[in-house]
Amino acid sequence: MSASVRVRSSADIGSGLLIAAIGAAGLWLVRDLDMGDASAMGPAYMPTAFAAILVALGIFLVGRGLVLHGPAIGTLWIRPIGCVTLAFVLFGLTIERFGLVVAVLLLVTVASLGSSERSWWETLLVGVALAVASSLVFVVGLSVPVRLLP
Amino acid sequence: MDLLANVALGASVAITPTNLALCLLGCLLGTLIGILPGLGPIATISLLLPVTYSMPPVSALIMLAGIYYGAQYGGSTTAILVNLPGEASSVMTALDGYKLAQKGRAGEALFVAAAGSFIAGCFGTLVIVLGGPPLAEMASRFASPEYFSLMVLGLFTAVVLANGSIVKAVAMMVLGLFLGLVGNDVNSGQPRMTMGFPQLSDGISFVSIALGLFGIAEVARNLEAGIKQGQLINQITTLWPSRETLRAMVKPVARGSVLGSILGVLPGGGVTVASFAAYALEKRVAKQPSRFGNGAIEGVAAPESANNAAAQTSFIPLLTLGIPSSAVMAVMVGAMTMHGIVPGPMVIEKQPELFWGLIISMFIGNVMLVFINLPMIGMWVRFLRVPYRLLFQIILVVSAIGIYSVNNTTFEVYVTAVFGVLGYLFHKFECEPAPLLLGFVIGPLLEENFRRSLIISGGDAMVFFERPISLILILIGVGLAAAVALPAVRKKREEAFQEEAG
Repeated sequence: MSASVRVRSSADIGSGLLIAAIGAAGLWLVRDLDMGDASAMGPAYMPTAFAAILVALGIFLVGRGLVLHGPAIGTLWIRPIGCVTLAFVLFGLTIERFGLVVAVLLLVTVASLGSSERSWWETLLVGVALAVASSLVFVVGLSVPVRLLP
Repeated sequence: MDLLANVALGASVAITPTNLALCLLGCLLGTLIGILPGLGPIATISLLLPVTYSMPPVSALIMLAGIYYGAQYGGSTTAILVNLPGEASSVMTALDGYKLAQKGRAGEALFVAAAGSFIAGCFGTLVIVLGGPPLAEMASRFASPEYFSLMVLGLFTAVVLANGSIVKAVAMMVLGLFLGLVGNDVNSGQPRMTMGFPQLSDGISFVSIALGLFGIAEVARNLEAGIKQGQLINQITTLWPSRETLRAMVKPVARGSVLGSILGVLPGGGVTVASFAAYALEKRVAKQPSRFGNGAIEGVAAPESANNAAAQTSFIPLLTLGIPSSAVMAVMVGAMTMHGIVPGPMVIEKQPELFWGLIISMFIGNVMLVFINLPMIGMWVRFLRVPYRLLFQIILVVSAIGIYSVNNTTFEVYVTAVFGVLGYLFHKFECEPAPLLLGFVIGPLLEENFRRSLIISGGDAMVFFERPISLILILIGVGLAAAVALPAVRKKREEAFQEEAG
């Protein structure tokens, strides 16, 4: 058997690492909670079971990716997911401090950086239009309690 | 007649100006998101949950359900006219539908899709009417062990029917089950896995997970792929089908309706599997299978019927057993819980107006959808011309404000962002996130019933094997798991999903 260890499926290894990491984090998070026993389960019983299964499945996937050929991870384009995520976080940071209009304008501007086709005037236009429309729909229409302007 | 009285009750609920209007609104929204690729029913329904908060529960459910089955209609339009499936369940429709459109028969294909959807939608709803009450009657005698076994069976089935790697489907499911337990423990009140965030004491917000995994991640992927939209829309000449077309669609629609109804009830089955299976079946029974892929009318009629039938019957496990069978139904659980309804066998008995009102609204909605989709097709085609660079901004802004307004906290906006990144990674790792959402909703139910069963039995796991119904459910589950392990079945399963790529 020439089962040399080498990356044969980066998608399997990647998913395995992620899943095992989440499982391990889960085990760590419930470490101080009471396990109980089968007839009277404590709060940690089921989470521990699920987290342990996650770790096991994650390790299995990593192993499979090292031994068997399988799908590879496509190119990770950091820009689109990065910009969309950042836009969301910025929206969260600004909506209560500076109001809906600023938050929406910021969201649209940052998100547009994640798209391959963009023009400044169009982004500005879309941002203003969406800020006005969402103010009318959500704040005036559905009375979401949030301020509009700083 | 009991049934007539129930139907009359349902009609009195569904046929009020408000509920008719909301049904129409749901169907219109459903058609719209069905037509637009990159926006699916899971994200849309999650997004609208907070908006429905002030409505009466039945009105909210009528509208949200309309979005779901409406999307099945809309998805076919994009598949036929642009060769892009508006929804995953329209992938098969695109194969022959687009070929028909290229031959100048776009109108006919649209007619067949809409008519097939209508017949199948009504058939599926009829299945709920006839099958729902007896099933609920049976389920009302279930105790914790039966519920636990039923959920285990459901999770097994969902894994078997999931797309792609089985191990990854199991992992996603378990991850969902795990995430579902985040928050205060029901029995002891102790916070679990909250990492010190008081906002997590009631658990991770369902809307955040659904929108992150299915909304945000999808937007990022579409941006990455550079979806543009707005080109090469086939022209529609006439909507009226020829006599041969009408004759050719009868049997595929009938077969698709039956097959779709069955697959819709199965956990993890749902609309996408139904449309694949119906297409495969037609190809098998056809005299000249080679016509498929080159504009066979059956290739449009069967999958479109199947996905609509399945969209309706997938409500059966939700409304009678209280267990969601698919990710979309998991969202509906979220909707019901938000309105203080506990999904389960008691719904039919204790809130008949809710059950029957929803069912009757489905008949009405299906009629509305035929008119929305056929005579008004020109209007919807125009939406296909909206470029994605505008569309995704609208999706993001509505999502962000929607998430914020669930509890008026920014915390959930950040949680959504986290799940957006996770959803993107899962996609790159070829992990389908639908089982995660299913697991997330079932997790707390599973734990509660498992705990309760073992308290009754004093910690003896035999309780699940000593009770006959529970034993049967477990045996079916084990049988399924064993079947998947068999090489022959495994090959078949892989073949079935291969068709998707083709």
